[in-house]
Amino acid sequence: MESVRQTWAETPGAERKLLDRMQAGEESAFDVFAERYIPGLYRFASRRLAGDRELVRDVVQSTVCRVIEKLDSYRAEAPLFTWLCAVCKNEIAAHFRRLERRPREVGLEEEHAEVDAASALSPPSAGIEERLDLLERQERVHIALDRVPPAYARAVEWRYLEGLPVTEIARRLGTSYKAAESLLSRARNAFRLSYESLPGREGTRKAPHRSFEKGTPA
Amino acid sequence: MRDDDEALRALLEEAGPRAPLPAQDLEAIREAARAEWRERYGGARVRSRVSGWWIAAAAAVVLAAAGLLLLRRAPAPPPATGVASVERSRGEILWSPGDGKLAPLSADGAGRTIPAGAVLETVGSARAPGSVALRMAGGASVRLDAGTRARVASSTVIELDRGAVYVDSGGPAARRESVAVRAAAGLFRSIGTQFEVRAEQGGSVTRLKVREGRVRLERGAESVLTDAGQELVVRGDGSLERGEAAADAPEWDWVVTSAPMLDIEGAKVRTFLDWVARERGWRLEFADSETAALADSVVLHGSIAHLTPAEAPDVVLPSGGLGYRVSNGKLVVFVAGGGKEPVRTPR
Repeated sequence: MESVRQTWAETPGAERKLLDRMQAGEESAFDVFAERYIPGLYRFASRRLAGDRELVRDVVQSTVCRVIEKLDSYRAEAPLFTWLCAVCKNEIAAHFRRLERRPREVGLEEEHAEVDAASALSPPSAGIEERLDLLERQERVHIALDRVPPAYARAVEWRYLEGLPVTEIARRLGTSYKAAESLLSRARNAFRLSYESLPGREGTRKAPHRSFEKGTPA
Repeated sequence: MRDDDEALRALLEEAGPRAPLPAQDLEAIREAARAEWRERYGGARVRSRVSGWWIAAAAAVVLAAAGLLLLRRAPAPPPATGVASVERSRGEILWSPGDGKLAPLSADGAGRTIPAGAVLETVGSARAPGSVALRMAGGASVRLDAGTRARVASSTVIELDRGAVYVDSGGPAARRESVAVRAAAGLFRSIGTQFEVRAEQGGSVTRLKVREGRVRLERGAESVLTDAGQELVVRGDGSLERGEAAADAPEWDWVVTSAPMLDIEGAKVRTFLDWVARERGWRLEFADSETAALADSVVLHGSIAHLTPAEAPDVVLPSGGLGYRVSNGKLVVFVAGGGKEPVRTPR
């Protein structure tokens, strides 16, 4: 468990060191950065741009290039992915400012801000809150899966989404039952750490994040 | 554990399946970002050094016919739309250009362009083991052993699900882009140039063998170096074990068998010998200066496309008036019938 934690639970300090290595011209650091953060960032942007593929590609590309421009600016006070998402939201906003029109869909945080403003004038709408929570959990689950090694993500999805028995997973992996169980255990831990490291809707009056910590009811 | 499982199941069921991310877009973003990063932080310096090398090589071509022949044999880069191309395949190979259903790679799959995100699976059987050799866009050779499933994430990263991947970046002089292998244990990155990563027991054990150069395992903030001749075993609990891995050990036989063959038409014998020695994990030596001069002057004609690097010396060297022996990891070449060495063609 501890070794998995070392591997997947990057501290902001470790992420700062990764950026330092990138600034030192170390290509392997760039590759780690690209593999670890670009897929999740793509999904983050895609959700906010209604899946407009061309636009998503442009926005994510400009986000990553902007981040590379100012690697010095990351202060390691929050997870790196949170910072990337903040830059991405700015890029999305800038895009729509350029077009002088509003986005077709707004991000969860922005949407929530509108809900909060409305709630000052009328009773809070439980339906909207629940919907926002659900959207946020979906996004976190999918991005968390994007950020673990593909083999882990597949194992977790086979077991918990498709409901495959361990014997079938072992067969697909061409391995023993015990080895498949072991892989699933590591995959589960990696996913959990990835999920928990992602930003939630901070500042909300209630944020009933569904958890899968042992003993915590969903 | 059961509560944990149930909560996880509920979370994933509620979220539903992930929509697949378009691999081509991710690759385009990655390469644009890489260009930006190189421009700002040193990749540009690497690029200019490479350019300088090619200029120097071009100058050498004007002066030396042998240099021209070497360049002619440099692997052709795959088309711009792909990140790799198939150089050689044996046995049954399945593939998919994305996350879709796997389909057989045709028997004449050589030359097929492999896009980013493609999945390859070599069907393993003792009687007809499948294997495939890829030439990456950056020039490195990547080979998949029988029983392997891997994803070509980009021109520089292979994701290993099961089986084994071998990477040969061609040595420091080759100036090829290095290729990293991502396995459950972490990211294995070469610092030049030949290594194998094998996922065993369903990925719970990852075994690295370094044949030449050095490989760095990156797992989170931790970095573990393994040198040539060493083996590193990463167990499921994160523990590490080290062992030895001789460059010419029988475990490399699958790499030799699946190697893309050299086009010898018009090549010097020296080029052929360098290639054989590298593929077999031997050091090349000449019995004397006369032999070395002969190797540098004799030009070969014909094809060895249907042989393996293990078989080729027995066919090629006698035609050039040469013989060889293998001793202590060295390929010693001599003039056949010169009275200094017996003429023999071992293995």
